[in-house]
Amino acid sequence: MDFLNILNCTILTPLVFAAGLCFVPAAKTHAIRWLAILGSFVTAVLGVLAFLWFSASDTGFQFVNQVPWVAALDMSWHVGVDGISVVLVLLTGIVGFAAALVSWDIQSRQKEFYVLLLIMIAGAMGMFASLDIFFIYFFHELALIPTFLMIGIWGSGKREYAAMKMTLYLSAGAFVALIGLIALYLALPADVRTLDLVKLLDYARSHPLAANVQYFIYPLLLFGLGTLVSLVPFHTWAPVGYGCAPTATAMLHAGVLKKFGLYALIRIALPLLPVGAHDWNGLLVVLLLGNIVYAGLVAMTQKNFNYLLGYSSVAHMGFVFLGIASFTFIGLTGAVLVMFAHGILAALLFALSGYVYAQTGTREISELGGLCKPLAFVGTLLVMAGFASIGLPGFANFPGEVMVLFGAWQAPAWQAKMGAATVSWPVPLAIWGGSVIGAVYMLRALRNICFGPTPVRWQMLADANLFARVPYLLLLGVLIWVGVYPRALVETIKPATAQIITAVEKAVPAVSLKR
Amino acid sequence: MNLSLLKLEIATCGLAMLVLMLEAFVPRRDKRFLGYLGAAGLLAILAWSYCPSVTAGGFTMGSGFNGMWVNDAMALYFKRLFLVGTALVLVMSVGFARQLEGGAGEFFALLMFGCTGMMLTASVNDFLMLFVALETVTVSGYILVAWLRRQQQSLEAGVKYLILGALSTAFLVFGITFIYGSTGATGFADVAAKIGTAGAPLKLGLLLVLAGLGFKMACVPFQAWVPDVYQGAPAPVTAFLATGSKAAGFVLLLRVLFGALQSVKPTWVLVIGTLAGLSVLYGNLAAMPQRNVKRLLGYSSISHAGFLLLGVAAADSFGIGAVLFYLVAYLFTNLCAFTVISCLAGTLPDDERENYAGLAQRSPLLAAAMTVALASLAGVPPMAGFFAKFLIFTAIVGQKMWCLVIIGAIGVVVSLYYYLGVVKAMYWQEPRETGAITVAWPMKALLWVTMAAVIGIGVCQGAFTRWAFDAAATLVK
Repeated sequence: MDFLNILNCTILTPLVFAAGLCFVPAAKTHAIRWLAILGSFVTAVLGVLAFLWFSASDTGFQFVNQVPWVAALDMSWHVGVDGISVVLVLLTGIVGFAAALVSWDIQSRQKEFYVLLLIMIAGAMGMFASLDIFFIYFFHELALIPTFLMIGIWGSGKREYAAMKMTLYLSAGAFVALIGLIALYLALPADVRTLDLVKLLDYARSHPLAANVQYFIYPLLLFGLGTLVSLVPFHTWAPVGYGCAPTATAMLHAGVLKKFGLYALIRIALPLLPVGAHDWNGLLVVLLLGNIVYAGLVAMTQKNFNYLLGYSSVAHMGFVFLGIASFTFIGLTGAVLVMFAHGILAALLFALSGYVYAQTGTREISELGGLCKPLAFVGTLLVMAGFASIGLPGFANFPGEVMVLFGAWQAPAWQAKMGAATVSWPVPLAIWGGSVIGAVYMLRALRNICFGPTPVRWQMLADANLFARVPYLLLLGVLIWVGVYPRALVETIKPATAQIITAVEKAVPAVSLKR
Repeated sequence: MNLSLLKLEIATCGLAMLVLMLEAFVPRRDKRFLGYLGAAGLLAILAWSYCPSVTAGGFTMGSGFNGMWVNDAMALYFKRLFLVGTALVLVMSVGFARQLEGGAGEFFALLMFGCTGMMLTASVNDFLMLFVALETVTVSGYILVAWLRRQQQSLEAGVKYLILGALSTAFLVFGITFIYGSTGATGFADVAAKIGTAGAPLKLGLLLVLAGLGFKMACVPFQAWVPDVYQGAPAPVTAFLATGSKAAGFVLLLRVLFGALQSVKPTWVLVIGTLAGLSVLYGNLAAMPQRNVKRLLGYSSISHAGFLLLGVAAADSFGIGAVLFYLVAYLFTNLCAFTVISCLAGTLPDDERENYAGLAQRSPLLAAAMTVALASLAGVPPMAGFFAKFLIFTAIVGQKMWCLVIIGAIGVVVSLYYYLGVVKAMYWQEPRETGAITVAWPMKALLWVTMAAVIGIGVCQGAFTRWAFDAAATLVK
């Protein structure tokens, strides 16, 4: 039974539970809910086990399983993880479980909701565990469509508009990326064409693609995948989408699904198209500053808390892009760490915001106030999560962002070594943008929501009970664990990012010095 | 004369005549069993087509009748596709039979005669044969479209289909006379041999033949009949036109292009590429404002003709393989969608999108099946339509037809908008009426079968891709 290895199980478990849920009568809402929670819990346990069993000292992919699928395209069901993806599998497991737990506020059509939620978790697991370009894309799309239905059916506010806008934006971006992936597949000579990522990486190591081909394909991936990660100026779907989505969907999407674009850039684009990445880096730097500074400034003006969180997550993505654009080992490692940290943090913030919304029925910051008194527990956690978002040491975001900034600091020296123009100004701008703007909007929002006089109508709000606290504490615990002991993840991530950077360092100077 | 080359067609035709005869003796309330008989018979013929005597280079493979007829892997591929499609349409028609006034048996028989014609098209290797095969399909189509003779819409659709169909037939005959006049031959191989020396009349003739085929495929600029006929015809007939008839048009196109016109490939690649781009753009853009679901599927059918033509324009064995895979994916997807429409035909006042509001609450199964079908049409994983589009786009990116890639990409994103519009109505708009909709078990079975096929082909693409590519390899050498 080679097929039932741990990664295949993480993908199939939620699907099996989703299929099982279809046969439970819709009226038995308690059974449905507990079954879904059980499914996401088993998945999370499998994700944690994959992380624990993963041997950080071995390079290469682990828990590999391969089944031929379509011979004509050399496409196969191929799963396996390295240091980067195993961390994201862990993230998916944790966030998926938390998302299932917080969904008690779903009061109608529970069966459909939980089926879609489990499909989303399976899709997210699949896209990180797959080692075949087709299936990486396939699983992302699989996770995307439930988002549309969930926002439309259980969303709030302008949900129809939000669902349509988000789905069209993301599908368009994904389709552009798909064209890029197809072009990448076809860029190889006909006899070695393969969709298998491992074979592709091996081949590219010995036969780098021609520089002009890379120059042409990379922007398709950058903008296509960038749209999925809300790279400015393709970010406008994020605030409205998250503003209207039900809590669990926002958690899973902002926390996990959004990382797909970054993951594919790091996994596919960087090692296979290093020269293209290098050539387009100048533009990427400008755009990512847009994320950090511009999106941050826009976040300052938001009146709706979820919109603010949406813009804040757009801004945080800028740091991951900065890590990628730095082309340095420490920067890329930091980028992966930020991906994990932001995933947990975004899930926590949306979960808490969802609790407040379920209690008060509003997300308008001006209508809230003094919530720390009636909601002592939730309010406190909200403040802590806000501090984590600002980048306070002790939470997971801090080590990640610091590493990214170190990387960005090293980037000019590195680029000089590569024989390219020096770009140093993003660093101070990013530090300024990230720390000051982030602090302004988040602290202001926290002050208005948590402190000050409590309006009379909010004085009788009920704080989270013991059961409802579990997901919040779980997410916060992970944030603090990684915050104080980042080595736990960094040691796992390092070998994989080192390999990618080595490949880039080998490929880029060979071309740019020749020019 | 080696009649055994025709044994699948003869069996199908015989089955149709048997049903037609039994129609006279079977009491009215048992007529539906004729439909099941037909479906079972077609599936038996399908199973027969897998017998070694038919497949393994036995005496039924090869060409015959002085080269008018060719039985190869591609012919067999299409014949099986037509058999499966017609069998499923027959089951759908039984579920729809209450709406059909008068002789349901004749309706079933006509479907099977149409199927015979379509199976003939798969083996065509001669322009005269092409005409005979195509007319067998079209003439049964005329009657079927206008079957609901008390409904104005159906009659209107029938008249439109008849007039435009007759016009396209005229084009076809006219074209064939030009071809015969300038080459003295009707066989594809003979025409191919003389194509270098013949002048403008031959080219005109070929263009006219392409126009006639364009009508069947429903591509721009021969698409005008599609929305009205799709909307007016009974749902199973629309399904038959959308799947079988379209596939028949495509198999003929492939036969003509690769049989007779192989040597002037650069020219027709340009023509087909242009038609493909126009069809994708027109079909998708015109579908956006549609509010009637059948009509919307009509426009979507035009756009899918465009996507299929994209694969033909790639003109290599990969592109043709992609087209063949696409047709199978499209067959099950459309049958799934039209089964839902057939189920609703008796319950809803008409096919306006507003009537689909809240369908998920009235019948979760129908809403789920429609969603699966629409997602597949839109090209969303894990449905079969996604992998089909993936193959088509791989083919045209491989040919570096960037202009068509961009048009196709626009088409895909636009199509998502209107397909999701229907999903939106079904899942989160409030229903006008609340009563639950019950679905009879044959239709339920059909829904499950087509849904399973759409998802199954979309996930386990390996075998289907292999069949399609093997068949394509016999055509494109």
